[in-house]
Amino acid sequence: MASRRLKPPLGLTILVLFVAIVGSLHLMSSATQDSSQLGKMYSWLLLINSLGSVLLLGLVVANVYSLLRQLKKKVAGSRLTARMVFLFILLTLAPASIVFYYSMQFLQRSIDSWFDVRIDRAMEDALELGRAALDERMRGLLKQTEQTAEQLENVPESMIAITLSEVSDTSDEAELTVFSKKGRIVLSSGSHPDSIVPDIPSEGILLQLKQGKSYVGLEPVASEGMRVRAVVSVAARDENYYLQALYPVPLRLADLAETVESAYVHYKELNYLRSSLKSSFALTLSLVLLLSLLAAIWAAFVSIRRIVAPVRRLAQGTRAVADGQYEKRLPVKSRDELGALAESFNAMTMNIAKARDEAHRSRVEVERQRAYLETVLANLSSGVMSFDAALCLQTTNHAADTILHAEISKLLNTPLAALVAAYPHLAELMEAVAQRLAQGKTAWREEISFMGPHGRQELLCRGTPLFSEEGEWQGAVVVFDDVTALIQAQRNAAWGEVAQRLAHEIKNPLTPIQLSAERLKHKLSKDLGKSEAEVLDRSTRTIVQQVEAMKSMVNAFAEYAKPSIIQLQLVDLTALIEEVAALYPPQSGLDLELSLEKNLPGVSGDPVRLRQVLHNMIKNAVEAMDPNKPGKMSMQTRLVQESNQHYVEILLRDNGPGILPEQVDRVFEPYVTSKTKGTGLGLAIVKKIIEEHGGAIRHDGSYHEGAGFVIRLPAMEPVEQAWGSRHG
Amino acid sequence: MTPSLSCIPRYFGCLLGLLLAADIVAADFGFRIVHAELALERSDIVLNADIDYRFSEPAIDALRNGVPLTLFLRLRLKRERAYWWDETVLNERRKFLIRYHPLAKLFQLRDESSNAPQNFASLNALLDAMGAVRRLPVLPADRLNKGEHYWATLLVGLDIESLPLPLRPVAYVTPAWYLDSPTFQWHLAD
Repeated sequence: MASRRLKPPLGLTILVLFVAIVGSLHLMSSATQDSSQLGKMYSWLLLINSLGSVLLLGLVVANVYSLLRQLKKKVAGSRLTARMVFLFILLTLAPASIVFYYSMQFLQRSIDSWFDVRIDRAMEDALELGRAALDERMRGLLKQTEQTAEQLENVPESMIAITLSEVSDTSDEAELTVFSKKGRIVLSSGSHPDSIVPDIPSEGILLQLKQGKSYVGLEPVASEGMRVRAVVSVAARDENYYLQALYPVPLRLADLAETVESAYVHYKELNYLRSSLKSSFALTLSLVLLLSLLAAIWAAFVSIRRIVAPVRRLAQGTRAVADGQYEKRLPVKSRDELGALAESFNAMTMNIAKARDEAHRSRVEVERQRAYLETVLANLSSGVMSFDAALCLQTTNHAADTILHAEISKLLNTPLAALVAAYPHLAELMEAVAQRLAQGKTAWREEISFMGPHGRQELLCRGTPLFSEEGEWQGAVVVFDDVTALIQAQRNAAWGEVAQRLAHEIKNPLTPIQLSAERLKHKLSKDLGKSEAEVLDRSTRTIVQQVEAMKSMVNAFAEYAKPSIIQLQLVDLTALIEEVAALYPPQSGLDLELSLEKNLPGVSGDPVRLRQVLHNMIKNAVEAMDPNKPGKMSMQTRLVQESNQHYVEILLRDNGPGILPEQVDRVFEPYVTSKTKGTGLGLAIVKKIIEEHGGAIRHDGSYHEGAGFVIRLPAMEPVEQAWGSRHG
Repeated sequence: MTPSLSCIPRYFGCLLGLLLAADIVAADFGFRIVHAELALERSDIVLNADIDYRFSEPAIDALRNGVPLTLFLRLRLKRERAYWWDETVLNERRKFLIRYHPLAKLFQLRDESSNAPQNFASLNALLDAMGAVRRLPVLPADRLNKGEHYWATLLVGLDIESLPLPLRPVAYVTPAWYLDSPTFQWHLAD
């Protein structure tokens, strides 16, 4: 963060760079145009600008490479950046190239226009003219020097000074020097402004003199102006000398000559440097163009990246939103349209996030409500079914499955017909329900009876129509309770009441009747004749017998009606059945077949009462059988599991005439029998005992060879434990 | 003594030139120091040197076309030190200007330290004169201590930075303009 804060603003960076480049280029351009102080900096400027170009080129290359990588990775905004950069470069390059081309052309032609053959010729001629004018003068001066030398010929060395002073009167401006061939200065006259040592001619001149030639030449002097150097040989008697005369060129003439020479030299230098000049200008111009272009391209990259950055962020943001990240917020870095767009995006994502959270909360609430409703429904003892307008099953609960003995909860969204197809025993019920649902749009209540897999069931159904907010009928919910047991209990209670009344109202008068009959017999039998006495005796015996019969009947009935006292303990049903079966050997006329499952868990019960149950069942079967046919009975035990509860079932089947269809529903009620023998209470007592043990007995409808019953008792021990202990 | 900053562009250009021309070694131009010595003359140390100045064709062509050429002579004298860098006793750089006078048809040599020009009828005469350095005073003799060890280096070359500006970029990248002699190094006798 700190480094970001310290980072200078981009605009300032670009401005500084731009000023630096323009400044440097301007300096270089100025240096190219004149040879002032800037000329010394030219190399530096060239180097700096070249390095700047390399630096900018590196930046541009890095940016291009980065852009290409982004394009390859299909980064958001990269294609837009590439297009804009390409357009920008095109827009920059095209006019710059045109300007460059024509500038170069103009430059070349301008430089070429400086030079002309006529000017060349004129310069050459001017120089030649100057040279000719000076040559004329030089020849005269040489001649003058030679004349002076002639006067010095054969003059003794001691006389040379005098002779020369005489001669120097005529040429007072000249600086005369006489020196020997070995370089020894014999004499020197005239003023020496530069040094006191005379200016001896160079080796080349001396070599020319040694060859017997005089020398005359023009040469520039250190301060200003020109001079003519003339050197001639002086013949002497003993040793030859050289006479050197240095004549200053008149100032006016020297100025003119110098002007001509400097102009000529300058022009010739320019002409010589023409191609270099062109190259130099071209180099400067190229560098200007290159730097400008590279700077522009780099600036374009940076600017475009800044322009595209919000678009890229927006694209990334939309992708994030598409991926479900509604918390995505874009930084708003500008107050322009893109900034407004980012703000709108942020507002949109915020609203979406809010809506999503709201929806989530609602969904959670709905889920919670549904779960709650399901929990309530699941824990309801009443069965619940709801249907939509097309009478397809929409909702059901566990109690419905239990009551209907069908897993209708697995058949949601199926019509009633499909339910019936899956569970045919529900046909009667569903038909009644469908009729009621089809009939009216009002609440209804009805007891519906149907034949379940375990016998007839009585359901108390209540239907409530469901309406939408607009009042449109959307279906109905049907709540039902299995009242079979309730009705049965009511019947049992009624029978109990009857039994108690009978016991009380009938049994009590029986004893006085019996006693009165016996007393009649006792008192009257002595006073009556033999025949009358026999009648009396027969009648009283009949009364007593019938009273006894009625007594036993009432006792049995009272036995059925009175609340029994059971002593619960763990009973091994297998052992109990085997024990009871042993009392009915084949000689008894009953072929009892046992099929007992091993390792059955024990049940909680009173062994005496349970034994009575078995006796009653066997007795009931025997009594129902045709005495002329061999009687067969089978007893089978099995362990079943229902709703996480284990039960032991005893299946009892015989080969008797079976139960009449019209009696199936009421076979366990007292005095419902088709037999000639028996009290008619056997199955009623069995049912009573079994129910007192928390079990159930039902007619086995699937068996048609005779009568079949299924006794179900809850298993006491945990199954694994019972099995484990027995295996152990 | 480190090279002055102004030399950096030259070195840069020199490197560029070397890269561009691999056959520079085989060229028949360039300066060469044949012999150099420092001698004691009265109270001064003087330089005597024989230098072979060979100009390349472009350089001679430029000279004849009025472009003045600046040559330099750099003499360094160092005192050996056992545990430290050698001490620079002298770092002398002299410049000589050569130009051609078309009117007088002669070549002129001007030593920048002395204003007196020397005129020569031919370039060879000038180069011969310039190549024979005799008794050039460089420093007072009392600057040197007896018993110390000294060593000197001498280098002559053409100063590209002094060329006219338009010629410089071309000179930077043309081997024919790199005429610097190899550094001549010798130890001073006691």
